[in-house]
Amino acid sequence: MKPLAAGKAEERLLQAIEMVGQQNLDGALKAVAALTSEVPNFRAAHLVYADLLRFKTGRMVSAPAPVGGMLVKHAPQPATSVLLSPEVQDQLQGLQDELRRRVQAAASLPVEGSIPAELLMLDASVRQAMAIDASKSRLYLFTNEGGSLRMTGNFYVSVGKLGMGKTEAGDQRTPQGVYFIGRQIPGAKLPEFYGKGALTMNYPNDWDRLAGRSGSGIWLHGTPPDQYARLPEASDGCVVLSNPDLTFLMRSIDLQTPVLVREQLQWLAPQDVAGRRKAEQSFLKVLDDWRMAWSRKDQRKLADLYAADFMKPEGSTSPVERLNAYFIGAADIALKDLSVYSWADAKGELRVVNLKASSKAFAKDLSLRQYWRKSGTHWKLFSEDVMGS
Amino acid sequence: MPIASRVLPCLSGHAYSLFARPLAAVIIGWGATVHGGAALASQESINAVAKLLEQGKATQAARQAESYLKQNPSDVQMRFLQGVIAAQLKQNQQAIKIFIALTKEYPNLPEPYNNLAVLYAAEGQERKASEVLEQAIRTNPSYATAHENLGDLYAGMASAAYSKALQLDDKRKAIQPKLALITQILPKHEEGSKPAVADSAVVAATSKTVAAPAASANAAAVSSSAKAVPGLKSATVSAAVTAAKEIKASDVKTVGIKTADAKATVPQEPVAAPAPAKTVEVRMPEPKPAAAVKSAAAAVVADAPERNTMKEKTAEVAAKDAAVAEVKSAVKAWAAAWQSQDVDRYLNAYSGDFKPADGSSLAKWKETRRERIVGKSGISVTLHDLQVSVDGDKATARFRQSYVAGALNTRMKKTLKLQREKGLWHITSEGA
Repeated sequence: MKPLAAGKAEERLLQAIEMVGQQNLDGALKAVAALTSEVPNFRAAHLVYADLLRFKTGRMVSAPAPVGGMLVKHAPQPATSVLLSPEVQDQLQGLQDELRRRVQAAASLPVEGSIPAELLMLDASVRQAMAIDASKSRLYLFTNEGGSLRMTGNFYVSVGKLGMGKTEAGDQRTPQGVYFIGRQIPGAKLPEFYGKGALTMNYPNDWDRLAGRSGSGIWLHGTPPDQYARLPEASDGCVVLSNPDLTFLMRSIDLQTPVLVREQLQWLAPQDVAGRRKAEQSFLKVLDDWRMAWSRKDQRKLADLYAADFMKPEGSTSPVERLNAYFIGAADIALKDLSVYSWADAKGELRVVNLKASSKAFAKDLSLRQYWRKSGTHWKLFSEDVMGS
Repeated sequence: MPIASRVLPCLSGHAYSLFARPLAAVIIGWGATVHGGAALASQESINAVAKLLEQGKATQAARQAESYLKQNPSDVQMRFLQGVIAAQLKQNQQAIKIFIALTKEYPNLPEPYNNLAVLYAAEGQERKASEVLEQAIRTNPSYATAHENLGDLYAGMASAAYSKALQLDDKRKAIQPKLALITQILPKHEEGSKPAVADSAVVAATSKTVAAPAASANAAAVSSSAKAVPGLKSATVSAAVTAAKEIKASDVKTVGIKTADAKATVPQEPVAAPAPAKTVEVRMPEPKPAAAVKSAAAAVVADAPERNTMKEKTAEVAAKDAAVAEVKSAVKAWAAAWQSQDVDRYLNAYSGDFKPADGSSLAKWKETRRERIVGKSGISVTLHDLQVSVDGDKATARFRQSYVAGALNTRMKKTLKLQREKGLWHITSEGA
């Protein structure tokens, strides 16, 4: 059977649940029966189906005694409770939690035009962005339409067994932060467990490293064949989507698409977007200072902008020496495709910047990713990677 | 709640919806044969009134019905129609009155109960509606059996679905549906009346529900039987038995339906022997809970809390309670005597007026009972859900009986009729 399109199975499940709300139990039963037969590995749908059937049964077990006729009954097996073992109990609770989150997520979609504040300043060259709200088990997909983000999809996701806030390898938590998609790995190259494929994320990023967070291999990936979706907290730290949803993402999103991952997203109302963006522009002044300092080879200014504990990717050269090789003779440095992502956590406040520097002196543009940390009232560059070189 | 629309020949298949709520459809008639031969002339009048009603001319229909009933005050079909008209005209109290009268006079007709239930439900009296619907089901033992079987099927399908949701292994698919077969249908009580022909709309609705795409191989086996057992318009007993055998042939192990050979089980039952196969006409209302169900499935899981109705007791009621207690203890003593194979005490529980269901003489019956009871190596008789109603010196006891003797293990619903004789309650009839 052809798999249902992305989001379709959930949509049908939610429709069935809505029918229950409208007291259309038979309609709901029919809808969810069809769904479970088309998507037989959708366990949460089976739970709804079971509940509906049981509800009908419950109305009828007290059938009255007949006034005539004779019934032959075959002694049922002693009724054993099937729901008591702890694992089954956990599974049941997990599925109920999944259902609750799916229903709530659909009921509480942010107002159109709302965006997470972290994604305030995206250049038009960034075609999509993703934001994951773990508390809602939801991944929101945005399409960048001329500099303003519009939500074009939202999908159920599972996160780590022990929740959010990864700090070390093996802690079964999902990291929080601003990440970027690295590679696409087709499912055929992966064990069955990962489903239709994986999108890698750059955890740990430079901020994680600075904060001493460890671990690796945090992916967005699909589900094994026997499960349409996994329970809300089920992975070892990866973000898991249903295979149709993952396939959809693999087909439609670009490499280096930003992925914001948070326990709970803070949404910026549409009417506040412009104002906040304006406020954020003060940071652009910092970037312009940085550009000017390089154009003028102002060593003092550069020393002031680069943090003393600057992370040296290759270890040997100082950042200034490293970029000097590029910027030598370039007095006309211009910045373009500038995107600024904000992030704050207990360890500090930062800006992640993607930009391209161009100059007549360059054969081609220089792509850089920078991590700026707020130090007092100043911003200091603590990490800088040359991308795609 | 069943969407049940009943049908006069000229309105065949036309569902009649009275209320906007999904539970509401009123049966608007029930076939010409129900009341021991309605005259053709009256049928014409009824058709005419029904047609008016169908055309939305309820007031005119009401006038015609009224003038007709002046001439033929006892015409049950027209009275029924009058009730439907009243409901249509939103004269619910009037309609309720008419249907109550019909249920009293014709307690074996399910349709007036159904309509009464719809009206009660429309008034928000859902508890009363459910009670009346249960009475409707009770009008025919086949309905009750089919009803219960449908419940069992849902239970089995629910069990399979839980297994899928919770990834239970096969051993733990332990909710075993019990499937009751209609092995014998006693003729309906009123003479010469054919059982009502099942309404096609109802049957279609029911079998659709039951045969909703089965999620699993297990459920598929269940639903194949569902089609055969409760939903059929006119299923013979042999067809039902065949269906049961089909289930047996399919994957019985996982589904958990045990279908033993009915014949092997029945003859050892204490009272009734199976009658030769008769045409069974089953009419199965589609159950549709009217209770509100909250949107999250988690809410569905929780059982609806039971509402209690407080009844004030009068002295009269207290006396009745005492009689009920007496009857209960008489029934329990009867079961205890049976279980302990104390045949004298067991047979003493029966009245001299007791009529054996197999038609044999009392003496002959007692002899057979004695042989059967004494001959067993051990008997266990357990009663559940004992319910007693007392009316003067007569009483009716209904219960579920589990009977185990050797390998035989049967459960059945049983009704004992008792009467008070010299202060003691004795059994005058025993029926399943």
